[in-house]
This record gives sequence, structure tokens and C-alpha cells, in this order.
Amino acid sequence: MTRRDPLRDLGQRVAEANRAALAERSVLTAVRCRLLATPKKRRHAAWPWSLAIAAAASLVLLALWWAWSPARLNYTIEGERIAWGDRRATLGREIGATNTARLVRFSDGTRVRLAPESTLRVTALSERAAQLLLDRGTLQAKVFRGGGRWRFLAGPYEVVVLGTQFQLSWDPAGRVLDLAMHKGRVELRGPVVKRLAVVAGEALRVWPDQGKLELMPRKPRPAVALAQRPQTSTEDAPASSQPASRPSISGARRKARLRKSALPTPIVVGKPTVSAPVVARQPAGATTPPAAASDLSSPGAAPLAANHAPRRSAIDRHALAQRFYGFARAGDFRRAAEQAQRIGWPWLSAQASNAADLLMVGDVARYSGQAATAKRLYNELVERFADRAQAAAAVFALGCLAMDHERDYAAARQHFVRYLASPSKLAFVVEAEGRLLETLQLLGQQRAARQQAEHYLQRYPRGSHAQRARRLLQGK
Amino acid sequence: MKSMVMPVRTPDPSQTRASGVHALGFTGDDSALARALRRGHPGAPAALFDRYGRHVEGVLINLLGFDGEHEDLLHEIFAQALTCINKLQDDERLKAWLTSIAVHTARSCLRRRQRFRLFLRRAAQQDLPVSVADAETRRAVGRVYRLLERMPTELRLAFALRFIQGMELTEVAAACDVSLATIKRRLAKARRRFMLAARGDSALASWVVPDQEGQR
Repeated sequence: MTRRDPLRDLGQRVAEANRAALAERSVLTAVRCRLLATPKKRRHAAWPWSLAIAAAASLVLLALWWAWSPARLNYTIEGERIAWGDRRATLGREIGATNTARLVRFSDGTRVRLAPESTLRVTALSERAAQLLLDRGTLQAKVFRGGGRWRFLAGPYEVVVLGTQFQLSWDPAGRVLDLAMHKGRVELRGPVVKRLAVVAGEALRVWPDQGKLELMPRKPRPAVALAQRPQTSTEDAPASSQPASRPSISGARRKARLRKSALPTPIVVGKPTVSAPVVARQPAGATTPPAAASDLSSPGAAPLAANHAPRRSAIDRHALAQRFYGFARAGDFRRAAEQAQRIGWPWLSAQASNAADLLMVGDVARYSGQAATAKRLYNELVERFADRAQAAAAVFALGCLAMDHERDYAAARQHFVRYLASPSKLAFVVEAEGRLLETLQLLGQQRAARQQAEHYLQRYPRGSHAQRARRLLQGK
Repeated sequence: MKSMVMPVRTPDPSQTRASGVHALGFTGDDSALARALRRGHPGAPAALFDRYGRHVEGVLINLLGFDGEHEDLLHEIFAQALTCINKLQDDERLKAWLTSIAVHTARSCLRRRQRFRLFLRRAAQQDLPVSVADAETRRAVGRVYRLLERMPTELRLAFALRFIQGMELTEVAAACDVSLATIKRRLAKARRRFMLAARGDSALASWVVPDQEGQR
């Protein structure tokens, strides 16, 4: 006897019920319509069009990129055209001029004329600039600056072109670099000079192995132009001859440029950062400026020294300014003042970009005995950096100058009161309180002096002016 | 065994006009139909649906019961079959292949329901029409699918194919794409679970009591 499975019976009854229900609720017709109403090909008909549109868009983008991308540089040498696509073959290739000069023309308009017995290589090309290596000899370059940065390599040096026309020479045997600027500006990078800007009209010779640097100034301008310009240098001039207001920075720079253009001066600089032999080169007809160090010995000679300050280009002034700050930080104010005298006090003050530097310049002037210069520098500091702590220190220094040099006790009292009222952190407050007491005594204001003496003794019983305050209170 | 050649049913002209499809006649066995589908014969999809639509619909209903989704699922099964016809390896097993697609589609549907059961409202199980069965049968059918819903998907599919659809073990294994041993193990497990639950159910208790004569 077979054994019946109850689950099979149950399943059959469920299936029968489902079949009967499907006869009434079948969705075959609806699904058939849905299924067959959508042509199969139509579902796939869109992708070729999408592909075609995408391809067309890519072509358009490629054409736009090709049209708008900057033209890549190429160059010709004596009629020989070298296209960008051949850059692997042309980059690093030696371009030599044996007996006659050769002209290298770049597609952006740059011209490089290679002197005889010279060798040049183009080591890099981009859309807007190139890098050239001068193995030996001399080249004259007229660079078209279209936004790129041209570089010329010569020995250990790199000339970054910021301007347009110059001449560059490199002697690999003697290891001497010559650079003469005709127009614009370049930055020379390498040993001895580190980073040095050379401007139009200046020439430079560097011996990297000997650490020597020789700078030639720009050529003098016609005397007519000089005569039309007023001589307005008022550095450390007497108060009566000074203008009412401090000359602006732009004015100082303009005057400095005027002086530079007026008096051609040979400029000889040793190694700017380390001590190095100094080699002088005197151009014919140039006059040597008076030595400034001797003028610094007496305060009375300071205006004369300032008026005859050597006229220097901005290039060596930066180097000298570095030496000035080095001496000043080391406390060697005499030598710092010598450097400042060579550079020019207005130039130093105009170049001081922060209050600390300007205070240092003023301190050097004060400690070297140039009271008028120091006063002007301190006033400039108070004016430019009024909210800095260095401005308060300058006010105190002005009080000291008024008290010690000018004997103007009223002005000194005002400066000390102003200094003590300053919200900045006061480094000389004890000294200022004592000097205020002293000025009150000298002004004959006995009542105010006694009050200041009591105040001083309360706060600083062991201060340097304590004995003076006690004597005042005791009526001695 | 060579599959039996089935005549192509002529579609209703009104349906054809409504759907905009001009059916072209197609005759041939499953192999010829599969080849025609691959070649893109314009009448082949209709022939496939007309030939196996009812079978697939039955499988689907037996697996899932009546709910609001079976129309979409049926459409999905045939759409997938038409798209993947090139994956059919044995043209003579077209029916089994469609059955396996139906099982896969039902499995996906059940898993989707389980995955989103916290976020989606469960598809309401529809009662059978009054005209097709008595109240006791309708109630028993409803309880069967209610118990199946509590089973894991694979056990449920195996149970439904074996006991409701009435397929052989080998057919069930092929439809579920597992080995025969695996399907036997699943069926045993599903049977135990279902019997345990059905004996405690008032509507099904009398259905699953073994026949006393048969036992003797």
C-alpha cells in the first residue's frame, strides 16, 4: 500500500486553486501587450547616436584646445628650421659659432646672437620660454617676454630674465662671468652674488672662485636733464633748510634715482655676504666720492657727509644694507653708521619695512652722534608705525635727544609724558619717570617735581633717580 | 527526447492593433524558436510568450501567491529572457530555462521584500476569487503562503516548486541551480518547518494529518 504525502495533497489543492484563479485573473494579455509593444531594436537604437554625439563633442573640444593652446616655441639657426616636434633631437644640441656670429631666432621674437668662438645649447623649450646654456663665449640676447621666464645658464650662474636686452659672457677657463644690461632687468643667481638684480645700464663681472664681484654703474644722463632737476637733498641739513614735512618714500626714491642718474660712480663690491677681496674698477673721468667714515666722527660734519653721500645703485645698496643691519645687530654702531653713510639714510629709512628695522636705523644714527638724522628717523617711525611698541621707544628716544642734545626741556617733558601714557609695553619706564623728574626740575616746576619725586620713590625706591628725588624732597 | 512542436496561437486582431505590433507567424520547435529569437525574427517574441507565458505565470503564482506584483514580474521574466537569449546553452531546454529565470526573479523579489521590509509596506496577499474555491480552500491557501513567508527564501522556493508546482527533484534542483543533494536537504528542512507550523494552525491542521489508512 502506497503511503500518501499530505504535503503533496496540500500542494496539489493549492495549485489547483491557483490555476482556477489564474483563469480569472490572468495578466497574460496585459503583459503580452507591454512586452511586444516595445520594439527590441528601439532600446538599442539610442546608443549609436550617443556615441556619435560624444565623438563629435570630443572632436570639437580637441579642435578648440588645439586652436586656443599657445603656440609652442621653435627656433631657427642660420636658416635651419627646427620644429617643436623635433625637440628631442634639438634640445641639448650644441650651437657653435666658429668664425662668424650666428643668430638664433625663436618663434616668439626672441633673438640670441652668438659671438664667434662661442657655444650655446637650448636645454629646455616650453610654450612661452626657453632655457639656454652658454658653454663658453658671449651672447647678446633680446628676449621677448610673453609671460614665460627665460633662463640663461652660464657656468655656475643662472640669469633669470626679467627684462629684455643684455649681453652675457662666460669664460670657462678663467671662470669669469660678464653681464651687461642694455634694457630691462635680470636676476643673477649663483655663487658670490646669491641673488642679485642687475638693471639696465649696469655691467657686472664675477669671479666665483675668488669670491669677487665688480659692478659698473649705469651711464650718466645728459647734463641738461640734471640741470632741470632741483637739488633737494636735505639729509641732516639744518632745521631751517629742511622742508616742513617729511619727504615721502616715493620722493626719497625719486631723489635717490636722480642722484644715481646724475653722478656716475664706479661701484665695487666684494662678496656681499662674506668678507672677500675687493677689486676696484674706475671708469675714466669718474670722481671718487669723499670718504664718509671720517665725516662721522663729529656731529657737526654729518650734514656735509650726507649731502655728499656716495651715489649708489639699488643693487649694491641692498648688499650694503645687509652689512649695515649685521653691524647694527652686533652693536658695532660706528661701522653700521659707516655703511649707512655709504647707502644714504633716506634710502635706509624708506627701505625699512617694519618698525624694528626703522628703530634700529634711528638708534644707529643717535648712537653715532647724528642727532638731527636720528630725530627725523624717530619721527618717521612714530608717524609710520604709531601703534607699535617701537613707536613708544622712539618717543622716549626723542625725549632723550631733546633733553641731552637740544636742551629743549619742555619738549623733552612732553615726550616723556607721552611715552609714559603709551599703552604699549614700556621698556624704559623707570628711566622715563626719572628723566621726567629731572626735566621738571630743570623747567623750575618745583611743585610738580616734588609730586613726581614722591611718585618715583613710591614705585622705584632703588631707581637711578631715587637719590635725586630724596634730595628734592629734603629741600637740598 | 525531442520537444513537442507547439502551434503558434494567432493573436487577437484587436490586441495587435492596440499594441501596434504586427505579428508574423512563427512555427517550429523550441530549438527553432531559440534560433529565431537570436536572429531577431519579428514573430519569435510573441511565439515565446504565447508558448510559455501561461506556464511561467503559473510558476510565478505558485511561488509567490497572488499579489499585486506578479504582472510586473512576469513582464520582467520575459524581458530578461528576450535580452539574454544568447545565454541559452541548450535550445531544447527553453522551458526549463524560462522556469529557472522565473525562480531567480521570484528569489530576487522575495529578497528585495525582506531587505526593505522595515521601510516598505508588504505587498498584500490577495485572496482567491470566491468563484474558484470554497471558503475553506481559500483560507487554507492564504495560510499556506502566510507560513511560507516565514521561511527562508531558498527553503520556500524549494518547497513551492516541489509540493505546489509538483516538479521532480531534478527539475527543482535545476531550477534553483543547486545540486540534487542540496535540494533534498532543503526540502527536508522546509518540510519539517512547514509541518511544525501547519499542525499548530487551525486552518491547515486537518490538511496535514496523515491519512490513517495510508499509514497503516
